[in-house]
Amino acid sequence: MLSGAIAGSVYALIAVGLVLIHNGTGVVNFGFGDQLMAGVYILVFAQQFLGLSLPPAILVAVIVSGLIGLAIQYLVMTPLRNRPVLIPIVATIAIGAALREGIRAFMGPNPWPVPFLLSTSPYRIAGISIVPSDLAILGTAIVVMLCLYAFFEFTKYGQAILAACANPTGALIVGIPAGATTTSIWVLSSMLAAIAGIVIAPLTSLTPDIGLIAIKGFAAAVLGGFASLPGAVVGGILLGIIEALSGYYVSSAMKDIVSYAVLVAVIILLPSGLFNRATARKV
Amino acid sequence: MWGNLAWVLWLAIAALAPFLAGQYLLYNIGIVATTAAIVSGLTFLSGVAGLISIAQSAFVAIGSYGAVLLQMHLGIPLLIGIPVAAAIAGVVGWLLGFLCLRLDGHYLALVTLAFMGIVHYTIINLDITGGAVGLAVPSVTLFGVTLDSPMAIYVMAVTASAITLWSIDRLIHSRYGRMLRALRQSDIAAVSLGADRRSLRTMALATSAVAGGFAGGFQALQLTYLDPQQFTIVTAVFYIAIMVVGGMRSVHGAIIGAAIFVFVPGFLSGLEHYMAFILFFFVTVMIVVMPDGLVSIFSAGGRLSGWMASRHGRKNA
Amino acid sequence: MVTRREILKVAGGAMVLVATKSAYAADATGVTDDKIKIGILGDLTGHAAHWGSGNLAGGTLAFEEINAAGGINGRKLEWISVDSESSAPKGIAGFKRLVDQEKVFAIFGPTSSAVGVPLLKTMASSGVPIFVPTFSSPLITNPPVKNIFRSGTLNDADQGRIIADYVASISKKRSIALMRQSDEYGKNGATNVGNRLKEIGNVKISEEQFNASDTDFTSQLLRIRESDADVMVVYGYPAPSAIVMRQAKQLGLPVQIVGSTATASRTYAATVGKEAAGTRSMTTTKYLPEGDDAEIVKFRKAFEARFPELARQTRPEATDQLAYHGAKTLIEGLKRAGRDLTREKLISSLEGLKDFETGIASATTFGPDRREGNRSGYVLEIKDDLSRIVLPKAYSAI
Repeated sequence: MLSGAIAGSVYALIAVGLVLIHNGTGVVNFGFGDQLMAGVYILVFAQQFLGLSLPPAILVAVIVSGLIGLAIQYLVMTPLRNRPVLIPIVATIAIGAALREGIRAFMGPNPWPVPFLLSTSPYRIAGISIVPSDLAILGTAIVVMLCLYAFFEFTKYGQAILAACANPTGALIVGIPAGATTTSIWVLSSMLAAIAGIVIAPLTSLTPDIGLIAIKGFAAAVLGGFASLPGAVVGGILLGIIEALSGYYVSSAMKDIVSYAVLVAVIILLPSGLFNRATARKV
Repeated sequence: MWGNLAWVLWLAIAALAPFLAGQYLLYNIGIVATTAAIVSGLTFLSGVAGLISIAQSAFVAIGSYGAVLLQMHLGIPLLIGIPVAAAIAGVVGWLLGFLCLRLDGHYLALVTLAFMGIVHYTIINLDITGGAVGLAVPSVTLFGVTLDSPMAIYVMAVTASAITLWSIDRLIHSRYGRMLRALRQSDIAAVSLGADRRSLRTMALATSAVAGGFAGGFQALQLTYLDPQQFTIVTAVFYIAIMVVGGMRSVHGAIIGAAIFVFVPGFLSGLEHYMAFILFFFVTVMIVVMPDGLVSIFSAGGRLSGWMASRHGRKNA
Repeated sequence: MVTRREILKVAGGAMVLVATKSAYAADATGVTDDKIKIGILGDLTGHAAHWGSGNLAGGTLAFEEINAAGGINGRKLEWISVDSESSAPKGIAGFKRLVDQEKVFAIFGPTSSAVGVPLLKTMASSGVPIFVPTFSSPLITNPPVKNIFRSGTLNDADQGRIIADYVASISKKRSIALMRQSDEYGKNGATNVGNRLKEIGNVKISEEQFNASDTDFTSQLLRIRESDADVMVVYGYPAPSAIVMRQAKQLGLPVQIVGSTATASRTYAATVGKEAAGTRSMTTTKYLPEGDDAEIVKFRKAFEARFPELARQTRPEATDQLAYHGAKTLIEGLKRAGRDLTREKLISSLEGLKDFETGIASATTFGPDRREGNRSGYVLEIKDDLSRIVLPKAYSAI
């Protein structure tokens, strides 16, 4: 269960990043996994080739990742903003593939080791073994979610973004420029991608294909209704737990089929996700 | 008008290739044809009906695995098995649509994403599909003659693709296609024309599945081997990219898009490891500069359709 | 160029077989007075680029060295690289390009099972000598195909057998857990380990599966802990294997871990972390790319000087090493085929190689019905400081 929740918290981080962009701009970002991957490679580059220690390297990775988001917004999304939504979606696929193959060529196809945020030696507390590095994943996820919650709930800027997501024309009328909110959404979500990557990469070892994990993030977002941030969080953790349970009780090889089948069932039976969209939209 | 010209050009290339092209070029032209035919199903679904499917690769899998399994276990010849398997793909597509298209169209993207995952992992986990090892595709035999020469495969694949592409082209310009277009642009207008939104859209998904299954079955003949890695969410997304790069309003866009992805890597091979990076970089640039696809260069009406697309904005997602 | 009449004949009936058969006779396509043209086919982009990149680097280095040393029987090598993009259709197209358009004499590659296995039919009917240095699907050499050779690699069937022999010899409780990837790679491997263990007899096997993209293996590992296995074979790609090994240590599984050759790469221990200490892996050769054997040191220095941009990626890796070894073996075949070079002669000279040593990887032996150059393996162990040593005993699959 705990291990399921840990995998789930990673899915949740990804799902939040995806839902944020989807709500704010209508675009499903298929390049998210590749942005996640690029974030970790920036970290490795800063550490191995610029000689930075871990904390500043993380900072560099998150900031540069945000800048990539900014570039995507200005160079690609803005010119395509009045097109059918499929066009910017396919643009994210192409951007993702360019990032992935560019990094594969520049950093090589072989895996890079990535440092863990905390120790990997387990502690035994009351008969349960707890691994600090796993807790770091869970902890980072929780902190990030709380920060996002606080940002959207208690800051004027966050409120403005939410307002723009819920009602673009209305926001425009009350004087919130649409361009500014979509830009901040892209930057924010790209920074989230880097954070999710930095959290997950030590676990899996870093290759250019690590971004495939974003598919699980999509599934999590769907489970949560693809429209609400809290829904995305719960969807992610739920997916992690469904996987862990079906892995244990059904069969490991079948667990992906089971998770996808649950997904189809949820969409068909509960089209607004497990949570009512109308109330969930608030945050 | 220019559409007819384009047809003449494609048919001329397809017919002359066997006499002028070497084996490498011939094979690639054949792959362009089947890929374009697979993508044309999406053209109908996305470009015309405004729906997104991330399962085209799953329908290709049903068509190709289906035909091979029908041959291996029931002795049904491949040339009969492929249309049968394509029909099965169509039924599956219809069922998927029936289940989820009563909802807002954008759920289709999500259901098809999950469906794609299910099909991929099912292929890997079943013994009958050869599991993760895959299946060798048997040769086609017709009246006791084994048709496994590159030329015979080319002729079969290109003929099948031409039939698919032409049928989709006709459908786009039929009353059915016009109703779907009207539905995309305005639900109310279309419903007032007497269109049943759900059944029209469900049929559109089934149509695209049949195209994918049929052309996919013939592509299996070209590849001679079915590996589950050819049928993933990544390949499904790739088909969408081909459609958009070429242009999603006509089958000619599918042909041009497929040609780009088949031939350009060869031209860029001097870049070695950097080839794919440069390729996708330019694909991104192309999408930004020509959001209506490469086909819009050739089309005098390109600007107009672009204008119309921006007019009805994001509604047709 | 093929004439129109020939094409029409093809269209009319099945003539290709005849064409390729006659092609064997005295086919010296791609050979001129002073040059031999080789095609390098491998995945340079996409998910399998790991092997293709090594194939190109190792091949290029060996070919450049032989040219600098005066070439082969008065001819210099000329080579052209084609990217199979980790995709079967692109692999088939790339092969046709090398054979039909570039008219190469022989092909070095392909580099992954995902491309190589679908390509098998096309390769077999082409008659072009094909030399495979890296990937490990047994289908390529068994049953043997006249024109397809492989050296260096330990194929999955042989590897499974060797792993079984090894783990049976170290398991005191006679109980072995098999943790395998759910795809072709894991399935082939695990089936072979399992079959051999059944042959050996008196061994309990508990099998678990995982998907290559999984990040959490707790449920499988917990089941293994409930069994009484004292050895766990991990048969999967490096990324999932690394997590399996780390989580097994964290869960305190009382097992000796043995990984497949996929986990025998230079950076693998670092990706696992300190939990890698004490784990063992199958490896195809007793030489490590970071080792201090004379030929290896020479190779490493030359490689780092020739490819500084790869050296910063902690290369040469096992793939570079196997490719360099393979290219040297192919060069030996070309040498022995003599000045009067034809495809037929290259095939028979390769068939004549017996215990041919390069000092880079395990010796190569081919024969009239043997196309798998290497059929033995070693076990390597990761020390506490994460350095690697190869245990001295060789295991043979014959």
